[in-house]
Amino acid sequence: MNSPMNISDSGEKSEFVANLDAFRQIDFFSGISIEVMKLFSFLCQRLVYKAGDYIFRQDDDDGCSYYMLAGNAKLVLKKRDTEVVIREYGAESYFGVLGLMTPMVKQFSLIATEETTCIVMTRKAFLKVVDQFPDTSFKIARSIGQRIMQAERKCILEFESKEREDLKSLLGISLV
Amino acid sequence: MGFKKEKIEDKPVVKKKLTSWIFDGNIKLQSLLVLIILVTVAARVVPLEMQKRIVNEAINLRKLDLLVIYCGIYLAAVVLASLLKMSINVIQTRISEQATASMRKQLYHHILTMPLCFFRTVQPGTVVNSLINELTVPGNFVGMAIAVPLTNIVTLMAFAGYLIVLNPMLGIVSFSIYPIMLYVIPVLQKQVNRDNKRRVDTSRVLSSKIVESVSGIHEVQANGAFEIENNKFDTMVNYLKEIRIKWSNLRFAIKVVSNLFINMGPFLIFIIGGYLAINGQLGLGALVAFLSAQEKLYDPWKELIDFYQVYQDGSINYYKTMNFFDVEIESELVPEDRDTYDLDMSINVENMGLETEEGIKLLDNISLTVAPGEHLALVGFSGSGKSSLALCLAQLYKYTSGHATIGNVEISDLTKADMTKTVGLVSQSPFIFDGTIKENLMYSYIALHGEECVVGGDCAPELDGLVQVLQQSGLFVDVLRFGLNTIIEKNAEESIPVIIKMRENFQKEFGDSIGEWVEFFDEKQFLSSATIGDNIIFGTPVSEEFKSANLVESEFFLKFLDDADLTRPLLTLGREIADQTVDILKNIAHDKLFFEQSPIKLEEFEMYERLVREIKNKNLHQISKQQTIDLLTLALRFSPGKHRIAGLSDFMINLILEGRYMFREKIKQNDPLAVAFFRKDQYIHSQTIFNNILFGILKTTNPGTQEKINQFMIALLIGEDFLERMIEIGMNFVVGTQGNRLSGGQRQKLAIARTFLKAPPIMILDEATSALDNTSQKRIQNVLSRIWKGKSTLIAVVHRLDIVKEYDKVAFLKAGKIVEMGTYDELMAKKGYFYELAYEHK
Repeated sequence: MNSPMNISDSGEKSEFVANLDAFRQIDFFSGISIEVMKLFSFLCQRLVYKAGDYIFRQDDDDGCSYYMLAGNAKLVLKKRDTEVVIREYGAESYFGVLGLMTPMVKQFSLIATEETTCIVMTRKAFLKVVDQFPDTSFKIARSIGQRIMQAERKCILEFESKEREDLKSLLGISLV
Repeated sequence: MGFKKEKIEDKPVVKKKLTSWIFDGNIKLQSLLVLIILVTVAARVVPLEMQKRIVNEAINLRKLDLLVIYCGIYLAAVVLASLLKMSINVIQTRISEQATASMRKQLYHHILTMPLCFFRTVQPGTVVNSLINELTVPGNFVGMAIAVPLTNIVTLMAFAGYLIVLNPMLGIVSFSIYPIMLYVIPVLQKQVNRDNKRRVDTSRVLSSKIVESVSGIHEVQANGAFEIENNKFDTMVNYLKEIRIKWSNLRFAIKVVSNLFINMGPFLIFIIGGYLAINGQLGLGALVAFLSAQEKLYDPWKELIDFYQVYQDGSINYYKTMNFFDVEIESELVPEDRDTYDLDMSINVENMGLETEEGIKLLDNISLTVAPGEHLALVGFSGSGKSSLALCLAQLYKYTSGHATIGNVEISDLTKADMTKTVGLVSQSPFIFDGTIKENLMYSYIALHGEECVVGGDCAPELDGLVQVLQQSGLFVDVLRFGLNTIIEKNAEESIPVIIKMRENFQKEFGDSIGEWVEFFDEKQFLSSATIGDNIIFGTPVSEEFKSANLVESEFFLKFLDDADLTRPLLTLGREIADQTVDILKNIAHDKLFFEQSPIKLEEFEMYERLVREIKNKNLHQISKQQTIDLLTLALRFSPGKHRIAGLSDFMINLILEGRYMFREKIKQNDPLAVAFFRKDQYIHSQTIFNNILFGILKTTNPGTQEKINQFMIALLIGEDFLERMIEIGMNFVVGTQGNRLSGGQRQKLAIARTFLKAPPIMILDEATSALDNTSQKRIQNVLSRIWKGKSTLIAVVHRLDIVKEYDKVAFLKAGKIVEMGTYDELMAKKGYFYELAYEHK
């Protein structure tokens, strides 16, 4: 029997195998079993965006998560009529894990700055897999928790060292 | 105006007596009937006299010439009577059908104007049953009403008179049984009537039941409630069966009793007439005449009894039906003594209330004014009375207290014709009629201007006007898509050369822009979004043998795969797909979604799981014929652009492209008509216009991409001056029963477009855009604010608060009362109910 890790008999590395390789890079999925990763890889889609295309839009719940396989994109926050670029992202960046687990609108837009390829997973597909392997969401939640903790710690350090009073109202998010 | 002034009837149809239909429009026919009947009766008595004379004069006196003359007269009378009877029947049928048709038409016209509250409690089935079934018998009665009693009573009297003249005593005796029957039969008939009433009621309930389960079929099936519904239905049918049996038996009983009495007639004649004849008091000829008359009495009497039953049944059906629909019509259709108003567009409501019969106040003390051209939004929680208020202003609900005026005329005093001219309503779930988009689009417009004027008259809307409202409502692109998705019929072939030219230009102009979403058909290029099977065939199969599902069963195709050296690599691919898919999906509960991107279908999974197990340690040359076919099926279904489970090497792709060429050569030799190959210069008849212009295959099913391609296609159609033609083709799209081939959004857009086309002075939109996406809602709101503000007064029940800003005024309703009213800014500044709702909404 072929292992899915092998290059296929027809001589070409299939998209499925490439997806699986990519998912193994994502922090949030680190504790997840190989069966689940295979299902994720099998159920997601690959989309290509041209420079200037929106990958996702602010205030829109598209129910998808995105793994950037190649390319570059900018994260943008629209404030009334102006757009603020928060930062740029390159290959291997991953967005939207929370949106997989529960309906939520994206708070930022992601716009491709050059041709960008993403592996896109939908909430519908994700939840179908979680139905089969219920501990998956628990494992992902653990990673999310750690990430929130890290962010909060960074904030507290900033607050303490530079006496940033303006950060005060934002503190406490890790107590959710 | 589309309201024909029908002949003003003194009484509404539901108040008419059944007997009033007898002469209603039938006076000439009925008079003719009377005339014919009198002649017929005379023609019927003649044979009796002839019989007597044949026996008494011709036979007794042995006069051959008299025999010939009397027999001649007899024959002539019989033939004449039959011919006249035939013409009576013809006229009678005509009157019956005419009466049934008039009843149906007038009742239907009445029903359409009945108040909406009536229909909330009545199932459509009841209405259908009333119009179709229940009026047939009353119609029959009307046809018979003059002809049958007149013919038969006059016949009976003529016979009676003749017989009494012939022998008074015997005559009186033989008619003595009829008074007894006239007493007995009505007694029985009363029973019949009672059962008939129950039958009508039960049929009505049954019709409603059928309509209910058919309309709610999704609920029945979703709940698997077959037993519940079957039980309900079966119980009712059984009950109806019992009633019908009893009803029919009683009807037969009446006939049996009547026959019995009639057969007593000859008995009396024999016993009394025989006695008289023996005593020489009665001639033999007279006795024969008496016996023969007895026989002839049977038919008229039977017909009278039948008529009596039809009359009884008919009046029950008729009055039950008419009483059922006897609800007062709230507004006249057309004004009687004036033209329809040209009303000012202002609306004024003072202390208006709407109270149900149970005393619930749906609207309470509503007061508001809307100046001409002003736009008012009604907002509030559900159940607050927004829609009730809108419907009161549209005259669909009749307010029960206070005043509401349009152009200073009380709404309740306006006729339907005034309302039609002034108001256009779009309801939340608009009704779309079976027919084309165009017919639905023109619906309100035709209702306003009248069919004659629009079809062939001078108020037919210009195509530009139709296109404009389609654009305003956002339905334009949908209609265009319907046009593009049309498969051209043989009679529209003149478009084909144009389309082939467009195909060329489309690739030339937009090929680069849409190249990332579309793979154009090119003999020399592999289509990664198409299956391997389709890549080999590269055309539309005409013969069943080469349709995708049948390929692996075609000996010709299997042999071709061998010849093209494709069998082995395809088997390898099929095996890889099966192995991988089974590996991923084994041991989990199966869901359709898991198979969306797989060449294996959900229902085939177990079979392939078994196959993978069976061939695990085998080489490909060791597997069975069926296993070969199963693996080939997967490989031929595989599409590298869609299925991620395996990849295709360049070597394999080249092999397939060579195979494509070879297949075409083989088909040309073997059966050139079996496949219509994709060729740049040829139209693909089995495909839509869109596919013919595109001449390629979409790489994704993403709606955004489709939208972009549509935009390019529109640009092309404009460039080629074909846009209007395409819209015309699209407007002929048939929407299906209740518009079921349209999405909820498309139905709403169509309803909005039809109101825009009518361009009424006052528009009432009752959550008219609730099924639309944000962009479409905003577009329509823009159109309303930009184009219609100032032109039409607008009352809109709005559920999206972000578009409320565009309105001149906002009224916030709570429990049937307006609790806040003002501009958006005023209400926001007030920080009351509206502010709270808006904040919550955000």
